Amino acid sequence: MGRPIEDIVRDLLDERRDHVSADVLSTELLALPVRPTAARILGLLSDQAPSVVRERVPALLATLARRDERWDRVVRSALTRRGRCPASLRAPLKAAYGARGSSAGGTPARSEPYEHDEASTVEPLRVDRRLSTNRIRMSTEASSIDGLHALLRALADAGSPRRVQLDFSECEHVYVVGLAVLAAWARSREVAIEVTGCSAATDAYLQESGFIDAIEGRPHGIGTRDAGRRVALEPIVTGVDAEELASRIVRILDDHGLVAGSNRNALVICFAELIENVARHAGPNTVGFVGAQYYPAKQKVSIVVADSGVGIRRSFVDGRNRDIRERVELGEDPLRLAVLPLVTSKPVTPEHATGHAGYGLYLASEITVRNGGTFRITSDERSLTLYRRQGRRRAAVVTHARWHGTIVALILDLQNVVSIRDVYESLPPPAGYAGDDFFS
Amino acid sequence: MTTSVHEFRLARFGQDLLTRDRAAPIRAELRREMDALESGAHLVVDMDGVGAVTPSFADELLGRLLLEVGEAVFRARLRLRTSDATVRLLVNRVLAQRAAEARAVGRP
Repeated sequence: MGRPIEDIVRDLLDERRDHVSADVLSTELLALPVRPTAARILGLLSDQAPSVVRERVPALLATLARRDERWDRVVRSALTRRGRCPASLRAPLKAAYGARGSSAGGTPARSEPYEHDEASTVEPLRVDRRLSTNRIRMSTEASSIDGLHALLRALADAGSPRRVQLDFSECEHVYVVGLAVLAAWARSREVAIEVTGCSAATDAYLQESGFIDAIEGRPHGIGTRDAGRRVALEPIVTGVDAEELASRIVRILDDHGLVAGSNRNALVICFAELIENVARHAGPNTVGFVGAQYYPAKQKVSIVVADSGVGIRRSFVDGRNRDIRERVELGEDPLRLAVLPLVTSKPVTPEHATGHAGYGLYLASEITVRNGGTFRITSDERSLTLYRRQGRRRAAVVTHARWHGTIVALILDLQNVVSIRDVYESLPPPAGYAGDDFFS
Repeated sequence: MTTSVHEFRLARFGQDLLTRDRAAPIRAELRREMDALESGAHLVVDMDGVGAVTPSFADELLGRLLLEVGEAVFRARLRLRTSDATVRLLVNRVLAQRAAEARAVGRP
């Protein structure tokens, strides 16, 4: 039997016992019932609390949050606007909680963790806007997944003009990622776009990809002019047939005999989960586009979904998942939360029996990274890129000009096999899970 | 005493079963057949012959059905069948998640 809570509190309040670490005290506290213990410890926090409490209790609470999910909820709840932490102590507690380490409170993923590259702010590349002529000069790089920030800079600089000239004269190749973003931007702001400087090849590509129809608001007639290597840009609206959109991308793989068996299924599941996720979260006034392209020489396929919706952060903050809302309000990166397994803004609750499950973005990112591909999610002023280099998972965050909505782009290597079974094994088990078998 | 066995073959709905929108009407059909079972009978949900099944599809079809009827009724009236170990793993994880949520919100 451990020491009673009163003894532990006495240690906390004793100036002479500063050698008793938060780790030691938290081990003792974790053996006690959470609710009354939390009430006692939080009760020490007041505007008049002695300095020893101000110094020790935030560290102790952060340690408890790191070590136990129930305590993590207690601390997060205390830190919310209506929580029990006095205003004057909110900052030190928030600082200690924020530095508690990445495992606290998160759903435990069984995947190998990501090593995070240092966050960076990037400058525009070769896209510039001529203010006098409302002209955006496109480049190959700015239409690619790696150069997206340059395009976002140019679009932000452009503001909300009525008309823009898109100059492709310096563009050798155009990637579907940039076209989907441009189309979503133009349609959501009702910007008229004039395309100039196209080579014959670029002009053909813009037509076949559905870009011209997309910016002019016309239906493209999928499949009629499609060369079989791409899915033309297709608008995402409420009620869109995600099944049909996903199936079109699958047909690219099947028609070319690119992958088979379980690897095919892994890629199909990746596409479908991504498209379904975006289609279901698109608000009633959302304008967005999905597109895909197969690159035979590199044996790669690229998919992009770009929308002008509320964005990831707002979706979490306005959602009914209190746990996630609090984590976002306390400063956790919404993009990193969005790619965790079983994280959703609309979970099942007593009032909402038909919640979501939170498979979509996790599965799409997990399959992509295991495939050796690149997964990039962009929302508001940030992009998170997940990939694997030299056997290690890497995560890079970049800040850039704001995108009002969400963009998810991924590139898959068709020569690499992904075990979908391993992906499913990586899903965290629910509480009390003991290998339940519903087939027996 | 004999027990009636009825079969619900998923493969008749297509090779790839991908989205929640696709699953919802199939769940309604499955529920109708389940509700029409005589006392003591069960329905075999046969998943063999399908290609890709996404977690979202499985969740919308079976996970939501479990939430609707409760785990006890689900287990009593349905028999799930597949020879694909990966599909079995997927469905078990999806259903375990929903069963835990149902318990958490007081709908065992």
